[in-house]
Amino acid sequence: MGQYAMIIDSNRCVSCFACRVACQLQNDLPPELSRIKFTEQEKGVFPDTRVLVLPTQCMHCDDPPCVEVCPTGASFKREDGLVLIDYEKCIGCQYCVSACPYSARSYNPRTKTVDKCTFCAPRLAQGQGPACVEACITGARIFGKVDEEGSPVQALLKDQRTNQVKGTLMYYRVGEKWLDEIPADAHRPAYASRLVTRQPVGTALLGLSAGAVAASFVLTRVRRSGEGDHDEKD
Amino acid sequence: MKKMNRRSFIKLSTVAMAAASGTVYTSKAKWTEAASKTPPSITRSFSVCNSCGNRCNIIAFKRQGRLWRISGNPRDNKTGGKICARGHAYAAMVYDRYRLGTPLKRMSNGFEPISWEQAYEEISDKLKDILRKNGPEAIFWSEYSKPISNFYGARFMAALGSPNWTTHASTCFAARNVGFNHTLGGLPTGDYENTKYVVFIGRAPADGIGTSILKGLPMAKQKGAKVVAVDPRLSYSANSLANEWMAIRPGTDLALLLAWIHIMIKENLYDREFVSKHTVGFSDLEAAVSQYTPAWAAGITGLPEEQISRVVKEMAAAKPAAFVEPGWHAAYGSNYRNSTQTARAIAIINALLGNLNQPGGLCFYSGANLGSLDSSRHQAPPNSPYKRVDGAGVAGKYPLALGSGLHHLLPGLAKEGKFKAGFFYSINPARTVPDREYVVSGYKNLELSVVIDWQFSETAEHVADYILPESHPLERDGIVEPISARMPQVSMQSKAIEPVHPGARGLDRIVTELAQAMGFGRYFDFKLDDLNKAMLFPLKLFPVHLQQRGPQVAGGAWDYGQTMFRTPSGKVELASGTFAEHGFSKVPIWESPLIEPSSGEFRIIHGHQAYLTHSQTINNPYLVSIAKDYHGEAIWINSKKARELGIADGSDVIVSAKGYENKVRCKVTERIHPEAIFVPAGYGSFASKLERGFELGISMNDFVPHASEDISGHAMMQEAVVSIRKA
Repeated sequence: MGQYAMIIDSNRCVSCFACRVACQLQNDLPPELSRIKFTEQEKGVFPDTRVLVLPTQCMHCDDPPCVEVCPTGASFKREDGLVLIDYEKCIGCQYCVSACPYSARSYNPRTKTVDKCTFCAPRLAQGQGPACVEACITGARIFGKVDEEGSPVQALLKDQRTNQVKGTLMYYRVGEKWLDEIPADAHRPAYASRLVTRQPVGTALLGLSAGAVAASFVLTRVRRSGEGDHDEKD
Repeated sequence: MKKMNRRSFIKLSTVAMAAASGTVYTSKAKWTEAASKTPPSITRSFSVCNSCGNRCNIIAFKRQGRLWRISGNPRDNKTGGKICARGHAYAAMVYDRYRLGTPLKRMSNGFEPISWEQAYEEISDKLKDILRKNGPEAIFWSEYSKPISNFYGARFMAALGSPNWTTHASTCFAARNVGFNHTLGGLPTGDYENTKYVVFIGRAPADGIGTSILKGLPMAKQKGAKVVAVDPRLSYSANSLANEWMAIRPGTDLALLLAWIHIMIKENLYDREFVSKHTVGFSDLEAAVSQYTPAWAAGITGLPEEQISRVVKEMAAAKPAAFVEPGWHAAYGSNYRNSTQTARAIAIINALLGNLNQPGGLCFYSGANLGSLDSSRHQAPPNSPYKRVDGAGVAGKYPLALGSGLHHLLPGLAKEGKFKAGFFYSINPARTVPDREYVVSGYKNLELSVVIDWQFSETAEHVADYILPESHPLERDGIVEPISARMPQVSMQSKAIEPVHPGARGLDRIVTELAQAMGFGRYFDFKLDDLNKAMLFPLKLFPVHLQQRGPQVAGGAWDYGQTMFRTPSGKVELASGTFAEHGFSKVPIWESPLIEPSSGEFRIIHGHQAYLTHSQTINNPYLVSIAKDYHGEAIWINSKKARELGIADGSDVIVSAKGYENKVRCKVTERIHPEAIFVPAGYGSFASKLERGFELGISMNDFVPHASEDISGHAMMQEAVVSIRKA
């Protein structure tokens, strides 16, 4: 069974939040609970300024710490790569919330269980893509199976500007200049506070999540030469 | 009787919620079996979103009869099936506890519920009294322009004999429309997907969402198109969609445009054939712009001379598949003293590019050829014999203003006693018009004010004598509306769910019943369905087709190449004889903004965020949560200026202008011109019944003085300066 991949092209993301709200309605989430979080980093001095917008959510780790710490076995990894929660087994202890390196899990007071992105598994089962992908106005989200011949996902995975978050199903496309900005010690939490300037209220760990994403870029960045460069937006 | 404690109630409600939401994949086994499951009973219906003015076609999904979620309709040729956060969140308001469900009357101790019969009787008695004493001129209708009220509101005013049917244009797009009408004879649309070069003047289509732009522009960019954003602020649109940001000094767009015209003419970069065949007034234009050199414009706009010259040359090289985008509210919809001539200059540049009705240029797409009610069977009210009281279209006042009037002038005219009664449909001038005090105290002079809406607003809470609850747009049919695109369509807002509040009524019904109570029922002797059938008749369609299938093709594909323009000369008017007749410059010439910030002051600029619409969405739980999570209410200040003032990112500041000050969070950023403070629109609610967003952030309208520009009469909403200090 081929694994899924989600690619977020941050050059195209306009931070409009259509994905967030579409996800919330699709998955019956209360307004205060979002599976998608936005971080941004500003670079340059007026008027030579640019902003990196980085939406994050569950990365669906290959070796998920949330599954490891779950005392009831509610969190599990499916064969197609999706990390899911068995809500009937979840007791809401939130060990996984602390364990998640990307701060992608939250407690849902409505269901009294932990909640996170499922890549809209129920929609996948019906042959549809995730709600956030369907909703994205500028086409910044691309989703599919990595082994599907000729799919947009496969084409983009061959592109050197597509960077996998190491050991996960998530990929990001960012301008070269943003990659160069990320220092080698990016995995240290100190870096996170520099990266994140737009931090959701009450989500102190989010900085860490963006830092973890950035670190993974560095750790997994594989230069593929001879596959054609693409114009950078600016 | 078995008593239920809190704990068991919560348990029960959680189970009930799970059942209602049809969550089937709860356990590991069920997740794994997901593929073999049949989906829970989900039905869908087609409608049109009412979250802003875009009118995007949507699909409403119901689950076990209850509205669940909304998506875009891929068959909408304008949007391609994408909607924004506001559209998705629209589903949340249908069942919201803050909806209005019964008519309300203001009493000394607050609002009291009354019956529709009592409301109609009291309102019509008062109106008759005003008609007798003051005449129909003393009555106005004010609306946030929508198809349903464009018809019913205007017909109601005509039935009463009033000339004062009014929309929100003068605080939105009035200057743009007047400028384009008097140059090109109308407002064209960009052929985004085929263009090679686009310049946005202040418009930020991913912040103030333009779904049709967001559909076409990425396609053009994929093919190598260049996008330039001229804006004092690096909006999210400019950041992601534009290749180049021209960080212009606010209020000086006209200087840049005049220099561009100068360069195009001087360096022979314009389409000579188009200009000689299809325009008038070239020599006047040439003479007027000879002084506007790039060096001159650099001095005024603060942009590098090199950038000014290079961008216009790049744009001209891409002609005719290049355009300066016509904008909306943006930088010149109703913002500066020079806005109407700024709009003229933009229209002129596009004519010089020869891009009108050309692939990748600006196009006057044809709309659907719709029918109308048979006037021999349904008597139409005569047009009012009176002149508009706000002076729009009236010699000696605002002769060139749009026929939809100048709504920001209405409170002052009420204070002068010229208006005695006003209707407010889906509009909230108490918050969205500059100078709260002027608006609220002016409107309080009305003897009768009636708000028609499905939710509370500042105007409802602080002005209305009566509030008539409208049903939610997803609970009722609307009016057939055309979609202008290369392949024109018609669509219709259609009923998607059974009414949640049976006490609320559609505008068509409210106006019809009010007209009957007034004795003007003869002008409303038809149902909305009859009107829709009459409109669709030439297309051989029926309302049921639109209800069951969504948008429908209406007529043949539009073709490029048309060169007739709806101006007095039938040509593009580079010099406008009409402007000259009324004492305005016939060609755009430089005029500085009315007010300049002095040392220590900032110009206050504003704009949309992608998740809020004016003041309409501040109580939507999903949208206001975004604002609260990310501090959307924060005003923006340039980093260097903030350092000078000792202001830290995320700290509170005091914003002050003559006689008014307020505290708000501040975002310190390199993304804004040092001369400007950006205030996001939609905040600063002072309606306590809009509980979720009440008093979150500030509104620019508390700092902008009441004013009117001379040509199109708009409200000059960025002719204001403020001071900032640490809180």
